[in-house]
Formats: sequence, C-alpha cells, structure tokens
Amino acid sequence: MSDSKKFIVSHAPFWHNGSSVSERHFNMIAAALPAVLFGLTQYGGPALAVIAFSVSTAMIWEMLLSAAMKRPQTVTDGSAALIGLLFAMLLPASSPWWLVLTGTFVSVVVGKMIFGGIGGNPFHPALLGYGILLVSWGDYFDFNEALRNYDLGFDMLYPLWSVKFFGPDAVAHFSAWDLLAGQQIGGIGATFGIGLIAGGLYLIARGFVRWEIPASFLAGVFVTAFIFHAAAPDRYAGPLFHLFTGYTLLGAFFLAPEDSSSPVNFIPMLIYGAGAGMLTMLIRNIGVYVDGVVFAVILMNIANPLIDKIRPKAIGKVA
Amino acid sequence: MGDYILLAISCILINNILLAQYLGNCPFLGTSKKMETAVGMSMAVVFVLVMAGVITWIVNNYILVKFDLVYLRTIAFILVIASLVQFVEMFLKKSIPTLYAGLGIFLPLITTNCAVMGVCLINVNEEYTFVQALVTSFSYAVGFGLALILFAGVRERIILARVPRPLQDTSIGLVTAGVLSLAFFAFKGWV
Repeated sequence: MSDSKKFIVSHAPFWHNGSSVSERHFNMIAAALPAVLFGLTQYGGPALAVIAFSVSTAMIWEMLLSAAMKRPQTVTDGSAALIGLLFAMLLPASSPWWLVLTGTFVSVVVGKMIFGGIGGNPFHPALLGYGILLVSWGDYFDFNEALRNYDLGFDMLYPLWSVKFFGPDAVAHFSAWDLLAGQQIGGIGATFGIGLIAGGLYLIARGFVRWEIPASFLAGVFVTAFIFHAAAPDRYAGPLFHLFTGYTLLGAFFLAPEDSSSPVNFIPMLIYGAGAGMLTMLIRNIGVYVDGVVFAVILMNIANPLIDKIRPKAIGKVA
Repeated sequence: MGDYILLAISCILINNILLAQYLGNCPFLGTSKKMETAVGMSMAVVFVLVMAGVITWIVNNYILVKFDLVYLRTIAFILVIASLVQFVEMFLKKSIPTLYAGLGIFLPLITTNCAVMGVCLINVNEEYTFVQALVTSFSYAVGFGLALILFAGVRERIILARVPRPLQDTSIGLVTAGVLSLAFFAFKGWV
C-alpha cells in the first residue's frame, strides 16, 4: 500500500459507515460466543449462572457508577457486558456468587469507571478483577479442586498444574488436537481453542483487533517455551502444549489487544505482544503461579505508555 | 557472579523497594506526574542510595561494631544520608538548575526517604558482605527507578482521562500504585 493514497480525501458530504463503539463491543461478544457456548455445554447450569451473573452485575455496576458520577449512561455501549463476559470466561464454573460479584465490582468500578470510563482505563478491567481475586482467594482458582464434581470423560487435572508439579511426562497424553478441541479443564470460556481462534480471526478480519498483538503474543509464548523446552526437555513442556492450554489463546485474541491499554503503533504493538508472551512463559515456568497470562498482560499494560513512545517521526519535522 | 545476578534480580523485581516492601512512597507519588522529574528523581536516588549503602556499610562495620557503638546506628546513618543529599542538592543546583527546580521539595526529602534508610538497614540486618551491599544498594535503586518510571508513564496518561473529581490526582495515583504492586506479584518465586 502506498502511503500517498492515505492522503486522498474526497469532497463532502460524507456518509457515516455505521461503525461505533457499541458495534465494536457487540462484535467482540459475538466472537467470544463459540468458546462460551462450548463451555456451557461442558459445565452446564453452573457455568450459565456464572456468566449471566457476571454480565448482569458488571452492567449494574456501570449503571450505578454512571449515576453516581452524574455522567451520561454508557451501559448500552456493551463495554460493561464485554468486561463481564470476559471476566466470566476466566473463572471456573463452580465460582460462588460473591466471588463473581466482587470480581465484577473490581473490574468495572476500580478497573474502568474511576479511571474515567471507556477509553481511559490503563489496564484491562477484567484482568484487574481476576488478578485481585487470584491474590485474595487463590483457593477458588484451583481448577482441580473447583471442578472435582465433574467428569467429562477426559483427564480431569488442570494441564498447567500437572506440568508445573509433575513435569511434562504427566501431560504427555494430551495431544495438541485434543487440547484445541477443548479436552481439558479450565476457565469456562478458555478451553475451546478452535472457537477462540475462530473468534479471534473474525475480529482480525473485521479490523476490531490488529493482527500484530495476537501474532507477536503467540510468537513470544512459542519461542520462549521452545527455548525452555530445548534447554531442559525433562522439566519444561513443549511450545505447542503451552500455546493451547490455560488462557494463552484467550489472552492473545481477547485480553491483550484491549483498546485503551494496548499500543497503537506498529513496532510498539510487536514489543507489547512479544513481551506479554515471554512474561507468560517465565511466570509459568519459574514463577509460583500456575498460569501467567493475567499478570503478564497487566505488566505489559503498565509498560504500554513507555513502549508507545516509540513512534514514527512526524512528517516534515527536522531532527 | 551468578549469585550476584540473582541477588540483583531479587532486589529489582521480587523485593522491589517500592512495590513489594512499600518503602519510599512519598517521592513515588510526588515526582511521578511528569516523566522528566521521575527520571531525575530516579537518577538522584541511584546516586544517593549507592553512596549511602557503601558508606553506611563501612561506618557500621569499621566504626560502630568495632567500638561497640551499635546503639548509635540510626543516628549515624541519618547523618551520612543527610550529608550525601546535601551534596547532591548543591551539585544539581549548580549544574542542572531545571532538574533542581523540577524536583523541588522532593530532593531534600530524600534525606527522609525511607527507601534509602531502609536499604541501609536491610544491608546491615542481612549481614551482607561489602560487594553484596554494593549490589543490593544499586539494584534496589534501579528497582525504585523502574517502578517510578513505569508509574510516571501510566500517570501521564491518567492525567488526560476524565477521572471523577473526588478521585483526581493523588487518589487515583494511589489506586494505580496498588495495581502496579499487584502486577509485581507476578515475579514471586522467580529466584
């Protein structure tokens, strides 16, 4: 594409192409639906309850805060619903109601509204809620324990937990295809790799998510996991395993490319994605937490304003 | 050598003086509104902290312990740190007046910066050798700078956002600092 084409502007009047904030959010919700529906078929009623409660409380918090701050109601733009949905996708199906309620409060009120609402949040709201709950009530995020009453006909141990405490041999029976097809336990909307990839590709094709961040995120995970695996194959699992377990795919397509907390320029986007991927693998392999996507993305959110300072030179500016 | 690198990583990331030990929060909130001041403050702290760490180590091991004056430790350390800060202040006033003006009250406040005093006392309590004390002082200061600069980057953006009036400025800064601290939980167990 030649740059000169960008500068051609035809005469007024113009026709609005219909894009809007709410269109964006509803498309992202639609893109997340395959993975969510798969989670619902696996975990049934409790999962539906968690998702419905999470989405509705997120919207209620936003309504209450908009009213308290005396600002126009923004709840209809779908942003709160999207945050609630993404937050519920991270949770195990057995989460108690107060956990969901606290989580959506932290996500919407602390993560988004007090920073000035949509577009002002420096961190991904859903991740902030999840991070605070993980640090406060870590026991509820132990997927083995949380989902012990389920028997879905495959190995009911959380793959990342097994690999962390028993080494790669414990997960050798997971084939990459099984993991992609959702034959693993995990968050409600985080296990169905094919659905997440399809939704992500839809978002990229429609232009709601730039391809640079997911691609560099997955590349960062792959390369770092490959290096660890090559250095000590008996201690660290291979790159494909890490690509398709835990929150990797959800993080790559839905969490890392959040609008206001990710960079806007080409090179910063690559650094941001690759950094989040690398940090994810470092936390998984040498940290204390079983999955690193959440903290890795929050850390890169924090670094985002600094990374985004790498920008193309203004045209015509001298030195 | 490997031990020193691990020690440095531990001081910069895992036991970050600001975000894991919660020392030195006044300059953290005070100088982080502009990137320029934040960078200047980080440099000043690196300088003061390395000098203070080294000198207090020498003072402690060759004067206080030798002459059985350990009960004077706090006062002796304060004296060393205060004179160092005075020195930095005179230097900055003379050579970089803009930075001196930008730092304002926070430069003399390094005297009472708990991070500086804290690191000196940690060095003594952990009974580090001289080289270890040098490494920890430097890496704690780098950790301070890292946290401060990251925080300043985020805060420069928050100033542009429509934060509700009761939460503006320091309140939202404290919330953000909490999130930074939360994010640094990620480094738990790295060493």
